[in-house]
Amino acid sequence: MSVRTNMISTGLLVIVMSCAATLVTAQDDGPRNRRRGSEGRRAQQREVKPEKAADEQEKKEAGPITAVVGGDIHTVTGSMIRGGTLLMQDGKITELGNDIEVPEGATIIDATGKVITPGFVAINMSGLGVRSAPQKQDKLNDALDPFDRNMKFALGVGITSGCVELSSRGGRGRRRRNGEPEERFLGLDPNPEEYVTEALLDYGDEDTSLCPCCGLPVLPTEPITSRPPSQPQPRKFAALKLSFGNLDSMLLEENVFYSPNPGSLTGALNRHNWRREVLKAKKAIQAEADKKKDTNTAKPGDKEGTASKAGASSGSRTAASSSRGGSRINPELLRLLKHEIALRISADTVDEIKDMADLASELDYDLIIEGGTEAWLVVDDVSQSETQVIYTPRRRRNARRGAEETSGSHVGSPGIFQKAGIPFAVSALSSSISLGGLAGRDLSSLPLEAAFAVRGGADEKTSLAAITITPARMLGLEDRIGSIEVGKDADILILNGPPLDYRTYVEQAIVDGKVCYDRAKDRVYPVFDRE
Amino acid sequence: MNKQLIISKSLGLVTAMVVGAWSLCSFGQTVAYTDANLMTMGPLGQIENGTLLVRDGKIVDIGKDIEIPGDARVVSLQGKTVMPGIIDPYYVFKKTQSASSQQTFTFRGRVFRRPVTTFSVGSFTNVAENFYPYDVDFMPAIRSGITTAQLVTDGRGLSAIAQPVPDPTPEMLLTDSDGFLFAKVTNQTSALDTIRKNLADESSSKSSRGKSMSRAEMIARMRAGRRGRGGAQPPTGGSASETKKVAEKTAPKKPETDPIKDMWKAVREGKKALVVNANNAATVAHLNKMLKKSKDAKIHLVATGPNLFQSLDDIGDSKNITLVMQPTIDTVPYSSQLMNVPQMAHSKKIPFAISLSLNNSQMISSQDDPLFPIAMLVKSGLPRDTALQALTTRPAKMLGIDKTLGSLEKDKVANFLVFHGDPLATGSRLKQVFLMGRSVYER
Repeated sequence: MSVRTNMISTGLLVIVMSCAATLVTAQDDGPRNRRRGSEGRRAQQREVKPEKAADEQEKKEAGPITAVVGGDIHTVTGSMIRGGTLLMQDGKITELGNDIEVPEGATIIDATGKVITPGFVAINMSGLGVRSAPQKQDKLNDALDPFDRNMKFALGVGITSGCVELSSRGGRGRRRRNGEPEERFLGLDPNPEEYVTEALLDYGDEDTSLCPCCGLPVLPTEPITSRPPSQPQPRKFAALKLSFGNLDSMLLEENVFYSPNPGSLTGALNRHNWRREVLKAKKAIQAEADKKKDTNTAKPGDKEGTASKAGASSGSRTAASSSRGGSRINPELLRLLKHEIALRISADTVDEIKDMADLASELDYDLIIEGGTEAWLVVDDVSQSETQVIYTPRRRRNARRGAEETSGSHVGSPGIFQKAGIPFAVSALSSSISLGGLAGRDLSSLPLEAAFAVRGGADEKTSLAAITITPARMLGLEDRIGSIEVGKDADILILNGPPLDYRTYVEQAIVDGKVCYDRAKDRVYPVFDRE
Repeated sequence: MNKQLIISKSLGLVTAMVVGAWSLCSFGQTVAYTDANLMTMGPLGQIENGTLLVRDGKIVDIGKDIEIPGDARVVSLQGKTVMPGIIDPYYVFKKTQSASSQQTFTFRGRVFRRPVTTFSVGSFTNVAENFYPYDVDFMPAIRSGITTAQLVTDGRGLSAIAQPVPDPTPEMLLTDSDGFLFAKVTNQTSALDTIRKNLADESSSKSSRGKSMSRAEMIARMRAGRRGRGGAQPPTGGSASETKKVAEKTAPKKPETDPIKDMWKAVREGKKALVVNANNAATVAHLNKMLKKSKDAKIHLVATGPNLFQSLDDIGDSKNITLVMQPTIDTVPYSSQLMNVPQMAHSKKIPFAISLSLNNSQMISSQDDPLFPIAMLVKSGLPRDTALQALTTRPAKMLGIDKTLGSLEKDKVANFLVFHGDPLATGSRLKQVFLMGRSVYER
């Protein structure tokens, strides 16, 4: 009896605490001045630029020019150019238009009668370019494999860059709480020890022991206590360019999202923890900003400087104390709150989507929801919170019985999103390359999936953007990939038909100005004439 | 480095005497091998019906019409072909069994162990120090005509150059030539860093593991109790003091600087090559990237054909890479097309050597006619001279032993093979193997 009352009291405490936390955050927020994530990121990139420019100056003079002539160019961000010319140099698009003279000595690729689009960007891919996710101290840059055959398959359907999930390897149990001992699931790992049975995998617990005779788990006699809710442990994503054979340009950016497990932001306690963590991170950011301000004002005069120095030291003390109190703040969380990256989390039902959108508005960060099958029902919430959606048009979710009108997936979702101005990226039914084939379920069906968005009521332009510029914006890389514009990376496709037609093949995929896939040579997809 | 050189020279004197004692059977006796078809691999080229004069383990004279001393024993090799002994630039004599080959982990609160599937860098092995000749059977190498080999492990360390003899003793096996730093790597930070950090600068290079021991010490220890195996384990009983004495005599003072650090410095400056075994195609690309930064470093890159062929252009550009390849016809990855990567390397003007032992099962299965795999490469486009050089003069140059080995020339060491006919002809058998003038294998 006493135990039960204890539990109830703790529950109450939790609720009270979480309420308090909400109040605090609400006060702390003040007037909302939300920026789009890309702006924050751009500001960061600007800081880095001068160094890079110096690097480029050191390099040798401009390289050879390649011209793609005569194709109909879908620029995605601008209007279409029929029979246009596109010049590429040193991996960048240098000129674009109808009346452009091809300079002497340029390599000419004749694309007359062909369609040219920017390379597709897969927002969701796995098992490409990285054979195994790098372990703790290993760097992703060293794990890249520029000769991964799967990259050719992806290039074969037009994917020239994308977002690879690094943490997913073997599914269960990979994402652990901090400090938890390494746990391996033998049923999923190679070389399973023979006496670990499936039964243990399914019903096993820390307290479970195995019967020495039959290997079945001996069920514990004590009541099984539930584990305390785990800390949000973000998944890891990196943006890769599928520049086959060219190691240097493969890695676009690491840690492109802050992505906690879907379960880690649900429930009162989890949400309380999340709010507390965000608050702590915000304080750290504030302290950092104050410190900077102090040091800036310290420069002009000496007398003032000494005065403000004291302030600076106090500011640093607060920062130190905030970092000392409890665990260190995740640097990715700081980036999230500075609007440099977005929070990516899967949310499908109305409740999940609403919860996530509310949290994002309250705590002021950019949100991308993955899934969003019922998002069409809460369009207002989604658009007001400036949430972006990663959507798979062919994914289905059955309606709840008795609530057929107000639950489940809707074939017209893409159209509804477009009308409401919700930016959406299309992802394929599966993130990996498999033997599912061109029109199958795997990553190689990405352009086809975008075609299904057209069937769902979205424009062809929006649908093409959903596999080019929209995911590029989500990754914060819209100034490099996702559209055909002068100054952007020369990642383009030469297609033998409209980009969203199931009959269309990629003739050539050009990444960083180099032909990385040639349908006639690479023998990835069967070569035959359809006449 | 200088100190080391002096030591190795003084060692050389000692060993030369020992070696002299070993080849007592032919000491002072001149042997003339006549009427042979001599493939010298040197400036003399091919000599029909030539004569080879051998005395004290060395080639005294070679040519068509040379005077045979009166006291010489004459052996007619009518219809036979003689070529220099094969030099293997990458002979894995031992698979390292590092402690991390099994991994411990907990599952549901229990402790399990399983073999590691991931790559482990392994610890640094100084081959000359940890070499225990009685463990290794060199007969397969001898039967394949390998008379000199660079001994490496499948991990990383410092190699040693050895002459595989049928009845090994440490004096005989290891030559005076300095070894090379070698490492097997894959595209993982931990593995790549073993090379990258050391190539980058001096400050970050790690010191070698364990105490360094001179060769003399090792020989002394082996003689004392044939107990060189346990590394730091001191020999027991009265022999210990003897060991110490010998060691003190031959190696008066240990060099103060870390010899491994010095070797890395030499690698950085391009004075000494680094032997790298690349585990997969991606690793070859990563190595190329690394070499763009450190321009002086010279690398002997060991890799299979399929792992190499996509990077051949980059390798050709770098100029600092010499390849060590298997003598195999490979298939293009993910295809059934066949390719001859040594030939492709040759057409891109990439220098390469061929290691017969790299594909160990192939070496063992083709011991009747050990050069059959080479003949396959030649039949499918690799020039014959390039192929034979890749077995003899090229590896000799790579290992820095081309002054004494690699070709049949006057004053060079008399390591040579006698074939029944043309070595690359189908069914041509390796008849006899001579090591320092002594027949070590006869079929």
